[in-house]
Amino acid sequence: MGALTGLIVGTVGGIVIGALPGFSASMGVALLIPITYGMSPVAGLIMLTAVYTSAIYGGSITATLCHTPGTPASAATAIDGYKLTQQGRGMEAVGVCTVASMIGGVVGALALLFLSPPLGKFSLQFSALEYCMLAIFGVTIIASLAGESLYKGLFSGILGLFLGTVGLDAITGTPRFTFGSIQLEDGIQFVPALIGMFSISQVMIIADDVFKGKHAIVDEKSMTGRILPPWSEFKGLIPTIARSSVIGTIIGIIPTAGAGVSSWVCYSLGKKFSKHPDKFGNGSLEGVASSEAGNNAATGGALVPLITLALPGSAVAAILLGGMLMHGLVPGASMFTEKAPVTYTIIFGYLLSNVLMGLIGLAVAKYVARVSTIPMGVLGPLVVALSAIGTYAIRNNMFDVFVMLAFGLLGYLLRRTGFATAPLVLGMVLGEIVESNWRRALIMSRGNMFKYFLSRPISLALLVLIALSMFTPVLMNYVNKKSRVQEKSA
Amino acid sequence: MKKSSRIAGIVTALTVLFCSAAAAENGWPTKPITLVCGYSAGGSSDLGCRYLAAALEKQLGVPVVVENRPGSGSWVAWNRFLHNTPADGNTFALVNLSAVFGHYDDKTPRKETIDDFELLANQAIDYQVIAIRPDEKRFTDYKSLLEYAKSNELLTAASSTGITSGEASVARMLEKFHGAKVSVVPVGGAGDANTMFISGNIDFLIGNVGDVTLNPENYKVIVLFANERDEQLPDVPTEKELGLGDYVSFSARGYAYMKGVDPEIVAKMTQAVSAAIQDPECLENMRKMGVNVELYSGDAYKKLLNDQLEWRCRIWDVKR
Repeated sequence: MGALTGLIVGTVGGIVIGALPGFSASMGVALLIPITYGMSPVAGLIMLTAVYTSAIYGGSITATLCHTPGTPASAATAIDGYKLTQQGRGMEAVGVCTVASMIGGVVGALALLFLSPPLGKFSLQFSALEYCMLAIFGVTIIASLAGESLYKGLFSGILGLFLGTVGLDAITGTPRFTFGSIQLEDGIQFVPALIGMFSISQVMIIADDVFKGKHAIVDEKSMTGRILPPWSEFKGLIPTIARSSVIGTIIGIIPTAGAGVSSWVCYSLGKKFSKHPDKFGNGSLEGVASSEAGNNAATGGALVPLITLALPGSAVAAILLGGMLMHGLVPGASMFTEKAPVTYTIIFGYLLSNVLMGLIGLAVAKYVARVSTIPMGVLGPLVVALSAIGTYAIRNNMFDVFVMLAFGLLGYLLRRTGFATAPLVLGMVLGEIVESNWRRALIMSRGNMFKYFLSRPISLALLVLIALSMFTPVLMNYVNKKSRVQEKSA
Repeated sequence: MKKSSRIAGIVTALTVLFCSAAAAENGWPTKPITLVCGYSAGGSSDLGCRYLAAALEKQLGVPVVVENRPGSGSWVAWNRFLHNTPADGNTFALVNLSAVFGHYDDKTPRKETIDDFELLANQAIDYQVIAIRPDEKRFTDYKSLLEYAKSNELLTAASSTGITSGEASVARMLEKFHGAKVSVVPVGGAGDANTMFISGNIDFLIGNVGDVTLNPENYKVIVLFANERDEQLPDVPTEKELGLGDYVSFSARGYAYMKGVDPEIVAKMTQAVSAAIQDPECLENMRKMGVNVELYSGDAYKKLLNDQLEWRCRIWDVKR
């Protein structure tokens, strides 16, 4: 009974927390930990894991409807989701987002249920060099997010990489670009910057539209009434969702990657495998499906090393570790022997929460999609207020609100001049991971990087993947040109 | 000059008298007490604060609220606490070794020293240990590890660099006192160091007792850097017992006021915090998290930190 209450409260609470800009999954989990004090371990942990996965989903609803990702993991969804909303297909976008999240979440939960011990061992194969390679692979995505101009996209990406260097050097502890400010020692906080880039800049653009006489994102009349696309179209999304679910789970398992990186990688792979890559960035259901299945699958994956090895791979997992210890559950091998009944009940509860989240999402999609018909004069101030509150609440720090505003202005200027903001965000996230892990790998290679590389097959495989991802388009162009020339001459 | 300083002395004495009288009259505490925690909600530092806050409410009879202000390893919180918070006894803060040792850090030296804090009581101490993998063949105990490391460079990890880090200090000590060749991989946190150790990416682990007792099957602990053995690791000898040195190293966290709080309030609060630390429910919750509670209050607390600071300064060749 307590478990059921935990499940429902966790899922609904998670969706709401996730949907509010600035209120991330880690905050939701941290906020609810004190409430679980009085609950049984099973009920308490089901509630916490339910909050985790549904907050990641909830964040995508607002990302889709008003370009305000509630959590960093939903930023990739904002790109295509919002375009669809503008085209009056917001309800459908939310529907696809829901189904993809649910399937992704269920796949992640199934992996957790059946494959945890072997997958836990697999996660140990990854270390600094592999994290670095994975993040470099992520950086190569920038080109596919560039938008209208490749060079402008690359500029945004490099600006992001540069902004990611602010703060204490992760290896030596020396301050860089902090100008003596203690507030900048941790670097530019990612969540405030993201909210500025996506939400605040969006409100400024909305304000422009209001001046031009447009009063809502879409008219009620021009909205389609479907929650899901017709079966013929939905069928085409199944391979995308399946691929993203599996890849998302694997990325989630790797410590330090997490749902944020997963959504971007899955989005980019979705584009690479798509039959209509040109639609990505202009309102593609496939784009929404790929990032959404990817981020929710990653939450299940992230629980694998936590439960099997007591190794938290992300901020949320670290908070969950505290929650588990508080309830007398010590993660580790014993979770699957002595404490197996408790463990499996919790994992099963997590599985159910993913399904419940999907059902709730589909039930309310029709109503939440109306957010896009709210007059802009009302929606804009609301988003700014919630963003400011959410940003402040993360660390009780006014400086973060100023960061948010500054990035809002920067985002607005970039978007108005045709620079995509997604590469900047990606550069900021990945730059730090690439740099610090490469330098760790250099120390670990004991001065012989070549030999060290050869001893790490996963890194070599990732290196090949990076090369392919960078040079395939060039080669394809070359081959296409050549065959065209041959056709002409024939 | 002499006269004026005497007058100043009298004035100060009177003010102190008057203030303390006022405090006694007003019957501090009358307002809710704020506990500033420079780490994010949900982490182990935060949970420790919350358990203490609950126990302290029983002692003081007013609400005790935990306020999280994470950033720059708690320095955002400490800065504001020391320089922008009234010293009226209604706000106190979580402090750890970074607060008192940060002044001597060579990369990001802080203005503030141990003398800027009015130390109340220490809640938790976690001693440093060295662990090797249970199947390790190259060395089997502390002595053979030191021997091996004299001619072979060994890798370990530390969650931050420099004097404030207990792990990095142990690594430096191994080099300085034992001539061992040790390279430190700086990592984001203790969790990352454990991952690297279990997966075989580093040769040995410098960790805390709390890290290695969570899943003991993964660790063979070979030495403890404390004055006496630990209850949780009864078979692990201290460095002193092994006759190889007498280094003591730990992480610790406790609570402090800023300077300038009425001495009477300080005395009352020290007593209340000490009682809260020993509250049975608070102790039980800390035990569940695997935290070792050792109460030191007032001057004993100051001595504990000063002694450790002396060790660290010696290791890093820093003049106090």
